[in-house]
Amino acid sequence: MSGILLKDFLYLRQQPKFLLLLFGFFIIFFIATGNQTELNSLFTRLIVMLTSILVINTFSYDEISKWDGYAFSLPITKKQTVLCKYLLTLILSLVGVLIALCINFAVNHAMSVENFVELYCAFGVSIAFCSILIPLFYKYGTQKARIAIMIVVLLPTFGLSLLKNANLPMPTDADINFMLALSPLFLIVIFIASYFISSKIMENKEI
Amino acid sequence: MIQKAVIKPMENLLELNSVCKKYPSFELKNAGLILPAGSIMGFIGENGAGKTTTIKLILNEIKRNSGNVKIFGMDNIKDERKIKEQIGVVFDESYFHGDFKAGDIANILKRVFKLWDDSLYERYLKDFSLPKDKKIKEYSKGMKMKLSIASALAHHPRLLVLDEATSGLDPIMRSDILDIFLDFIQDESRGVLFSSHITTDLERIADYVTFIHKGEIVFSRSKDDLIEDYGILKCGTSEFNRLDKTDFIRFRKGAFECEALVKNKTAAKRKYPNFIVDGASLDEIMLMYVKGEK
Repeated sequence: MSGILLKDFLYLRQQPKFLLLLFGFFIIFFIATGNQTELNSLFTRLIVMLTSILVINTFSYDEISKWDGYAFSLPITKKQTVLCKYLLTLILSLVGVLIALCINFAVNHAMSVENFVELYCAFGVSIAFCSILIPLFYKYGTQKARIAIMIVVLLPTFGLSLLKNANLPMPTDADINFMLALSPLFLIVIFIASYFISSKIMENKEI
Repeated sequence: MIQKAVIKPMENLLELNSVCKKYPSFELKNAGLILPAGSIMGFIGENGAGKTTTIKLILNEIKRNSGNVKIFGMDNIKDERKIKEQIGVVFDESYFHGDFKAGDIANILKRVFKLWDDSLYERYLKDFSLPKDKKIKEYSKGMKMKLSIASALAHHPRLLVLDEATSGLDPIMRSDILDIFLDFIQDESRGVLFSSHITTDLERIADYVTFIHKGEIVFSRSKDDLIEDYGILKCGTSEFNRLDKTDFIRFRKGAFECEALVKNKTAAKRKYPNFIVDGASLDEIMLMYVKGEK
């Protein structure tokens, strides 16, 4: 199974230019704005984006090289193939958080509780985002699922603006703390459920 | 001490019994074939006849509706992983990312196959003159195919399954690749299932030929018997109209000349001494089945 995971990492090896460009853009943006507090939130957003983009890319590369048809001829179960994508998501998200932590320390020499919460949220959103996307990729392929990405990105935005317009009372600190405390459980459930859905899709898939 | 598996003579590496697969627009009906150890089976048929479907069923990439597939005497679904450790697969296209190099593939596959042999892989790369420092996308089509073959052979498989592996290659490259298969089969415990529509390749290396047409296996038998037995009877159209059509498997009528496929060349020669009865090539047999009338 580690061979399949290695294959995905080898795909990502092809993208240093893209990553450098992205990091460069954010660093220039940071210098231009000159706002140190912006840095943390920039990198937190970057983690969400990067993890999802890189996981999506591995799906595209698999499709381009018609990997799945070959992978099914190897002594690896379909479930293991699926598990690799979830491990990849987890590893990339964690690496992203680690990088953001290091950069924050290097620049600010300290981390506030807010910084940590923000990073945790970024990690959480990245996991939740991939949990929704991966089954869609398995079911519809990367081309069709691109529309799904748009929907996944736009729905929360619409949802939030709807909530704002509904004139509901803003959540209190206690509400937010409660949600934060509950969120790890939510993430674990959505991540595992997503894995089982993807496995089921793959088991029934005929290539 | 490593114990080598003892293979009984003529053990069947692959057995398909009445395998069916139904699609809305295509059906594979009661596919059956037997590949004994130590032999190469050519799997021929026109595009869309069901060759790839059969191969996918063998590899359990698609679900069969009925029948059973046995590989090394084991059920291909129940013992899937055990079986796949000992199978090498080559498809018509490279399935490795263009930015990978030969070494990357070894790194991936050594973590997939228990019996992966780095030194054997290196030897194949050397024998096939495949540069290790080049990216796969810089390889020619023939080189890509050789790389696929090297990566399919480096874990000491007993069964090699090839789907149109030589299609689209020039005759020299095809000849090189056929030699690799002949070399592979020197070990009598091994076997090759080789789907192709280039029948001349099969005439050169196959011991058995299985012909599939419109989802049905027309015949699966020894190539030598096939070439020995089948024949093409040639005569004028007016003469042909007077002959007993039940003697022929298929026939093609031209304006002046007719050709008919006969199952027993010798018997046909005896019965129709005034007509020419030539041997039939695999191409002619295939063409007659596909294009001929019944």
